[in-house]
Amino acid sequence: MDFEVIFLTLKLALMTTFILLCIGIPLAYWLNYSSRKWKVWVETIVSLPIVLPPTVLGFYLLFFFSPENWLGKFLDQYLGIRLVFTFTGLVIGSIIYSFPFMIQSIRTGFSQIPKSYMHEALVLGKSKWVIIRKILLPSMKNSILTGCVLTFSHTIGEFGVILMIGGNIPGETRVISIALFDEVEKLNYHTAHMYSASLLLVSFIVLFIVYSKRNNPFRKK
Amino acid sequence: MIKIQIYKEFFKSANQFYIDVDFSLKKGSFNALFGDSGSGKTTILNVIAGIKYADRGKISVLDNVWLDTAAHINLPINKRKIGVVFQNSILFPHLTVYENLVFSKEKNDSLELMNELIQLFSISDLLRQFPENLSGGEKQKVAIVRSLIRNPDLLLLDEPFSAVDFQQRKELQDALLQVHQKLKFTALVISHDIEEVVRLSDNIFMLEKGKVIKNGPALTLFENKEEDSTISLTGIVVSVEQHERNQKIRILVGKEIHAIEKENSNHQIGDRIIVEMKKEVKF
Repeated sequence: MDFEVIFLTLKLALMTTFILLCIGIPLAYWLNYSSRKWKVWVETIVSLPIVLPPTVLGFYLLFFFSPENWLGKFLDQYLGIRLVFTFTGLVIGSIIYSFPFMIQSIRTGFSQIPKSYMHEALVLGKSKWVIIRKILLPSMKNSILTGCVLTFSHTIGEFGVILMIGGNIPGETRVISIALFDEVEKLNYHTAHMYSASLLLVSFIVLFIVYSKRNNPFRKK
Repeated sequence: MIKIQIYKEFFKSANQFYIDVDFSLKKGSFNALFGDSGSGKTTILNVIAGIKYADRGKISVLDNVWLDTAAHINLPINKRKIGVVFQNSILFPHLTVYENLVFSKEKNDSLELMNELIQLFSISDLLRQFPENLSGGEKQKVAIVRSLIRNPDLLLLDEPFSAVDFQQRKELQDALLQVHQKLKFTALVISHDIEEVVRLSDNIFMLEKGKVIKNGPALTLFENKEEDSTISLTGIVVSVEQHERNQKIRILVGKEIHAIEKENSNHQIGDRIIVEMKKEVKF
């Protein structure tokens, strides 16, 4: 078993989770509290990866990020960023692919907090930023954790998008799911078993953490 | 001086309802907005606090304008130096009582005032507790302390003790009055409990259908009203006896059954009727 594959997979999952967490909190807050009419457009776009086959998503990303296309050409020529068959491209693809899992979890957290929390904190003279940081986010730790864990595990297991946009370049885009597929094609079942078992183990552990935390909401007492 | 002018129209159960009030509160006074449910008390409080908008109005507190619809001024809730104690105030459940208190404190707010309030309301034993371990009365005590820590220009209390039992209610009212005497903040309590209103406030605004119909101290508001010495209560018919043209009806009012005779009536058991009763004053 190639440990570089495992390292690369974990690196991809961690980076995707961290970036999505940073994007997800403000976006989920906006989706939950905004009353703008065009919010439905954002909701639809954010949720698209849930229903879209990963290969379709991967195909469009490959199409737009390709240096043959205007976006890929612009990024390549003016910013020196190449997204096709690179680790950076994988991270962006993973972020888009896992978007709904992080956003929906955090949004659920916001929606479960009574509006009266906001009123109480506002009449105490606090700014929205302080309220989010000190009241809302600590009250929805479980939802944030769920979002992180789902994004992490979803990224570890993704295949279609990665194959389309990243290919199978060792040390660059060869993650566990791709390596597993590769080993099966080579009829190398022993290594395939190792990769499968490690994916199974990670998935089990993360789900176990989510459910145990849900049953025992962590509070300082 | 705090000046409050509010005009607001809204629909309630498909009926148009409006609030049109114009009143002033003296600095350091304890005032009450007294009226039945649905008279618009809570809406007025929400507009003063900035939680709801007014169609037209002006609210100036000391030298600050909080609301002036003509000048398009509507100070955000968190910029109004206000304290609000709701009927069921929320203490943030992930914070201890002490952390809840500290949360409301600004950097410049005095720690001395916080400690003084903790002593005055006798909550020093509760500081390490989480809100879920507190009784309703204890929660309200903490909520009052929390809202006073900022030394607000105006303290609003929305039926603050209605969910608290009688004994605790008296204790809380006493503590609040004691603190008011000491700190001299301006307060406006809204309530439909006349006992609470008379006990707490030195000036009462009587609200009816969104309008202040009279105001003043309890003594001037309620004296010399012999002609109003009856009270209307809702009762439920529990038995009906027909005597020729008359009906002898027994009605459950509160926990007592009263009997009346009515001519040409057609009541049935279970009917809800309004009964005019003589007021009984007990000393």
